[in-house]
Amino acid sequence: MGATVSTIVTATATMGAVGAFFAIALVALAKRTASAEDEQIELLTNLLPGNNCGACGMAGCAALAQALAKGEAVPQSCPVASESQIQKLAEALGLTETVHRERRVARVRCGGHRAISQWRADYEGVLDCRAADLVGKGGKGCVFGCLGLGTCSRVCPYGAITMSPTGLPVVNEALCTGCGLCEAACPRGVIAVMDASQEVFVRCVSTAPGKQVRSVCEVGCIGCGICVRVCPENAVEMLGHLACVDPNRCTACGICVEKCPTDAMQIILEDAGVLTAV
Amino acid sequence: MRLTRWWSRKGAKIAHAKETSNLAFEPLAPPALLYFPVQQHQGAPAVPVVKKGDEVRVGQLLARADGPVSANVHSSVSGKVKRIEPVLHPWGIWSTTIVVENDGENRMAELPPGVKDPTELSPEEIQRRVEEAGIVGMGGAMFPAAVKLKPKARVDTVIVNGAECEPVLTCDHRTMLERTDALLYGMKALRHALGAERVVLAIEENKPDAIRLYRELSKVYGYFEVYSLPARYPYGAERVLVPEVTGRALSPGKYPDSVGVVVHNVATVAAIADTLREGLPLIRRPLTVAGGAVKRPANMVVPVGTPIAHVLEAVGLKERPRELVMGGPMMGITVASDEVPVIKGTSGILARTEAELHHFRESACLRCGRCVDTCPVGLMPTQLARLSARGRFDEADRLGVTECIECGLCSYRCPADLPLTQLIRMGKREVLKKARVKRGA
Repeated sequence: MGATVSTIVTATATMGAVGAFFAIALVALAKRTASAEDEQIELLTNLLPGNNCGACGMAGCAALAQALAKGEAVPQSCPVASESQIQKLAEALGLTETVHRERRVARVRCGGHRAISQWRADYEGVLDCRAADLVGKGGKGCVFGCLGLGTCSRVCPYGAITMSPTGLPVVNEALCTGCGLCEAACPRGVIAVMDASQEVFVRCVSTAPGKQVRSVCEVGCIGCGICVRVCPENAVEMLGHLACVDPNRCTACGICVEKCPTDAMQIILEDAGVLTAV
Repeated sequence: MRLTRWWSRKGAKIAHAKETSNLAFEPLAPPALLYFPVQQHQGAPAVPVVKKGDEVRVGQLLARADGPVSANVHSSVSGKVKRIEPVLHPWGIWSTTIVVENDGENRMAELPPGVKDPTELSPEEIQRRVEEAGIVGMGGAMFPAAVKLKPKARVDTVIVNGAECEPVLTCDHRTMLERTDALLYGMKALRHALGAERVVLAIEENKPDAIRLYRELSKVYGYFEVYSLPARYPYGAERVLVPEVTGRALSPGKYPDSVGVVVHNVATVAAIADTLREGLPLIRRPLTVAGGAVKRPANMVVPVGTPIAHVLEAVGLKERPRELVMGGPMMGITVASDEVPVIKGTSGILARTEAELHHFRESACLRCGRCVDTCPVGLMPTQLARLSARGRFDEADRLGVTECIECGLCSYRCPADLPLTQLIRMGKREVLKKARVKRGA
């Protein structure tokens, strides 16, 4: 019994002493070798959002902080940080220019869910839009629209994208930081990151003529140009067969949304979220 | 020598299934409507030079090449341009397509005069004529052939690829047997155009009749030699073929011209001969029609632009196919509709039944290494697929994912039934996309 107690005491004391020695030694070494740069990197890391999402193209916030300290990046390199966070980073780096940043969010520019779009073929294989897109552009009739395999929702580090039961991604704008990873991952360019203040956009990316759009989808932009004609602010223009809203001119009056014959034009309503037929 | 060859052999033995190899080519009459996509090659799409309502003739230029890597598109029938609009393309895209209504009269356009002997033409003239004729690699890659006729470095060896390592397909085999004079003429033309010292016709051992025939001919003519390849897949792939025939290793990311070699498919060589000898542009292509749903498998010479539904009608269908493939079973592309036209690179049409399909039933990777053993370009498919599936494309890039030739052997050999090739292909594209974005930025 006595032997056991003394064993415990000896072991604890020895390990404690070794631990204390190394702790003191490490702290002393750290203090001696500490540089101003290290401190700055730590400060910058703390000022960054800290999500480690990798949207800046680096391994994480610490990596971006290092790049910032070396002058290889600018505060705006972080696509997620808010205006005030960027301002603080700029101050910490001694930059004087003021930075403006709007809050940006991802928006889904396709409304062709399974019930209202045609499918040419059954796709079978790796359940990833990027893989399906390489097999004859996937089975969807529209070669521009959302394939619905949810790659965007899986790459989102913020859990902001979920797939609706009808196979379209739904962005929870409260969680979305506008990092752009989903935009980069989508093989169809269906997801676009835009200013959160932009209220009206076209929920279609098909550049095909109207006849073809009609043949595969009920809600695609057919390029009729009604929106261009009815817009009192001249904020809509046609890029080939696709309408495009200029956010700087749009006042979100909603006339184009009302007149759009296929409901491709969308308006974000503050209380109801996206007005869609999903 | 034999032992070292055995030791260094690449790829794998797979079923050949070349049941159509004894069937002679039959010409297919063009249908009433033909579709000519302006994208029938690698590179920039061609630009239409005709408009709606124009009368066109056989061999007339429909769309002109745009830029250094592009190819002309010609009409394979005479008739009227009905419309020009985006139409579904075999690749799944909607490509601008010139739709021609066939008047059935087969009136020929004015073609450049042919020459009896290709050495009468200067190398530049041959290159120009091949470029004008819109000839692309007919093995399936559809790389403009004229670009290969002005190599950046000196070329001393031309390999004429008659391997046809894809199972099922036999159109290259038939081309070698039936178009002997065209091949001889084409090889002579290539030798002259490139100033090459060697022209090597590489044929797989499973085509002994072709090997015998050309061995005899090479004794008579002497300007080419025959190389017998192991009957293994994928010996027809450039990266396997060039080291095998010349003993020169291809560095990663380099094309054969970096080691003084140019590779042309036999069908391409025959098309080059047709152009120089008769002035004909590339408007017809030999292909194999097969698959379980086909009543009467055949080798055919099909006018470019014919919808595959018309081809399938000609051979008859036993049942509605579950899957349509353009090309061979290993590397062919699945097409999502029978409305898509035969294009210059279509080497086969397979109409497959449910029984012929392979449904992947993924299970856990056993780490057996079969995919690594079998990869003809020395990659680690299991690792690459794993990284791609997890979106770790940078790491896949470091392990050489862009070197993958997408031959499909890793998936074929995998006992855990993992879709390795598809995952690697996805990773490859993501890496290339990133590189493009970087270059653009």
